[in-house]
Amino acid sequence: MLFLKLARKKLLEALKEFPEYSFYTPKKEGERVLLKETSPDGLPEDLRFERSTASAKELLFPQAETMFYFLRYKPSQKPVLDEGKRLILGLRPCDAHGIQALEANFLKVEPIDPYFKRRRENTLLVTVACLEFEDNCFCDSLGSGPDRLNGADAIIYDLNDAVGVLSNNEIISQRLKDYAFQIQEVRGEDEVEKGSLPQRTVEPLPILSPEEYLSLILEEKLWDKISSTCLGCASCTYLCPTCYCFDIQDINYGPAGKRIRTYDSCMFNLYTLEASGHNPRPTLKERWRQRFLHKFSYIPYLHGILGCTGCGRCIEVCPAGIDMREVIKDVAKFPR
Amino acid sequence: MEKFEPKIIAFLCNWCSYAGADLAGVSRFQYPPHVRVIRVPCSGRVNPLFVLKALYEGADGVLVSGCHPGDCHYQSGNYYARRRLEVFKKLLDFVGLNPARFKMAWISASEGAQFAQLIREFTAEVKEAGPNQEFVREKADLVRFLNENR
Amino acid sequence: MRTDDLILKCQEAFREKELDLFLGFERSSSGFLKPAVFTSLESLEKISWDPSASLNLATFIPRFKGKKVGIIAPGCVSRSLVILINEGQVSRDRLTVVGVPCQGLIERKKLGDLKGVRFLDSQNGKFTLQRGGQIVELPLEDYLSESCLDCDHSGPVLYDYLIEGSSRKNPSGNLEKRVKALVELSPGKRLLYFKKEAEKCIRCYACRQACPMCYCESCFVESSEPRWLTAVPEVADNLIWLLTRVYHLAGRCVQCGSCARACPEGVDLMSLLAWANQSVSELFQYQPGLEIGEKPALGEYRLEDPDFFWGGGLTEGKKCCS
Ligand code: SF4
Ligand code: SF4
Ligand code: SF4
Ligand code: SF4
Repeated sequence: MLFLKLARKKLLEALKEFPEYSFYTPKKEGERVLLKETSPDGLPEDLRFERSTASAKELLFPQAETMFYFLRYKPSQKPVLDEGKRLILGLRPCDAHGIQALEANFLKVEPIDPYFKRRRENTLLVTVACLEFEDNCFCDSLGSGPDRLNGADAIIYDLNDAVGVLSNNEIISQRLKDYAFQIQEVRGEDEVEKGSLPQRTVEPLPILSPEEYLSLILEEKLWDKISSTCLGCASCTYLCPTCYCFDIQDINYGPAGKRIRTYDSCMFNLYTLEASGHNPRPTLKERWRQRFLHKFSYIPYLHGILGCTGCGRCIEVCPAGIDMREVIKDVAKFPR
Repeated sequence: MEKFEPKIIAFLCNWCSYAGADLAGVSRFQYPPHVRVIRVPCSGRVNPLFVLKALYEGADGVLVSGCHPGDCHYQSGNYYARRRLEVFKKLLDFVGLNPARFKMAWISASEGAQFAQLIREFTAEVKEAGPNQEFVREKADLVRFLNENR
Repeated sequence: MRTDDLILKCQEAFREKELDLFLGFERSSSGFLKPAVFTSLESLEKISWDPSASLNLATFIPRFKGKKVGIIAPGCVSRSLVILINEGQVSRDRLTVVGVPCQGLIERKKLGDLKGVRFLDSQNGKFTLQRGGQIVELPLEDYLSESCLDCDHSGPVLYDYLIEGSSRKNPSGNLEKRVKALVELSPGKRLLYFKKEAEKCIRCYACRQACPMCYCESCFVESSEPRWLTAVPEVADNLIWLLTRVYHLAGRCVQCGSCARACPEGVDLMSLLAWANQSVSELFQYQPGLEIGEKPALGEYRLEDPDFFWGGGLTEGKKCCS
């Protein structure tokens, strides 16, 4: 892992060293902040970007993608892979944590997902350490930010007149090397100069172990209370950086067709509805339990990282005003 | 450019309009051949989604026709259809669909000549409106794939 | 309106009508109100009502079939209740309505960068927010949702108990004007506008879930046999989704704005809904949710309804099969 110090101007110059990559940065458009292709020339010098409305997952695991095309009677299984090379700049450390959770699901367990794999290989994720917290985020309670590299290929720290870049990626370190005035071999975030980091005054949230959370699985009252005003929409899961469930459909045109996948959501009734009519998660209580335990018990148990990044998107977007922080507290308070 | 031959989907009720179309046929009334007829039990059976789906799949014009008010085989189906389709048509106009693409009509079983007349008029209007590009589904990639693999 | 009065009245209703549960709002950690299901007299001490609420509570009603339910209702919510009763989704005698005055609800998307701040309080046409140590006072009128600015039924039309207080008057007519401006555009421009709106939609169905009139157990959008549209959020598919939902709400929508406030992408749902309602009211002189016992506008007909069909008005002497 390398830590490079560059003059601000030099970093912007160095970004021209990635000609084969298209640049993506968060950009405000009306009420929304979208991840849009930009030219590396017009970047803001302070390298401060707003948090994107949707999470970074949409660039690696888009809401809808074609898996393959087929002809009737001779299905071809050749996956349609996205070969575009992208450098995504200006994400937050929590976004990188989200990508890490997706990697755990798509790349660490069989079957490996060829679509995600190719996109991830072709993507350079560059985050910027947060200078202040958003109103709704809580990564500091989860250990995933605001100065952590997480699943990014590089993180940029604001050192006032200079910037520090911490990277474990060959391509990035190689191409930035010549622009840096100081290069250091390090083992992690804690050995480098990070500039000023945001401070939190409120108490950190109580996070339990996967086993402790699992022990609450049968507590109907708890899940009932949490889910009582949930609407069962999907704004939380669609915007969530770690939700990776998808559904598959075939779209036909004469004898040709394509298989697509689109986001699905465990908050929908249809998600678990079986052909017989039986639904193992018949109400929002079971669906909320699934959403919560998947993030806080199953993913941590299987992969050793939390399935929640603390980005606060679900809090901001929930039309019923359900606040994940309150839920975390309610769950921790519940007698075990 | 190729001459534009529109595709028109007509939902005709079984009891009047379909019979009217049939009469036009046996009476040898001439009308343009662009219409594909789908027989429905009653104009009241026509879910506006049929219309949207037809446009979505590439129809250039959609016609719904049923028995004249007072003549419905099921007493009132066409009265419901009248209310619903009129509201629906207003909605389509509002979002900017070319008003020529969707037509509603009453044709009785004895109106073979009128049916031919209606189709002549409607076909001309749809031709004038040109190919439907407003509501069609995205299928360029599928078309390309099909052409490459024929 | 004082919160104490509200609490006492709701508790009174809960006691007298022996309710199983009560639908209302409570303060969330951000200070904005969030919906809550109260199940006891004591819990009702937390009930609250002010312009920081967002959802139309009637959307929860079909969930509690067979239960005796209390609910606080400003004008739009009471109108949705009337429709739910008329459409057989709840029986009047299981429902206890505490009517509340309404000054309109805040559209949080209008708050822009202030979105995440704490809501403190609202009084006399103003509301206060807190960011860090700073307190900002803002005029309510500038931040109300479009539907509320245009509301012409801010007081409840159906109630068993009533909390006195003043409701918003003088509908701005802005939405109506906006619809009119859209109508005046060329069809091509309108199409462009609505395609742009449709492009934003991510098909999360928050609008549907937030709408009290969308109570169908299975919605056309998810039907796989027949499949009307794909799950891909492309313009044509999204248009089918938006248009058909709006069509299903023509003459049933009470223009509460719950869907528009719930939409994370800010899709312009209100102009479509307002137009659909306006069409129904012009064609059939019909206002949704004002009268118990009334049938939905598109669930009935009159012989003398306007007739724009080709060949219409030709009925005389042109009979077939009889
Ligand atoms: S956004 Fe809120 S209401 Fe919608 S599914 Fe998620 S928790 Fe439920
Ligand atoms: S469509 Fe929207 S505005 Fe109309 S009743 Fe439903 S939630 Fe309210
Ligand atoms: S959009 Fe239509 S089908 Fe879907 S829930 Fe609403 S009213 Fe029912
Ligand atoms: S809430 Fe908005 S984004 Fe979600 S489905 Fe409805 S219109 Fe689309």
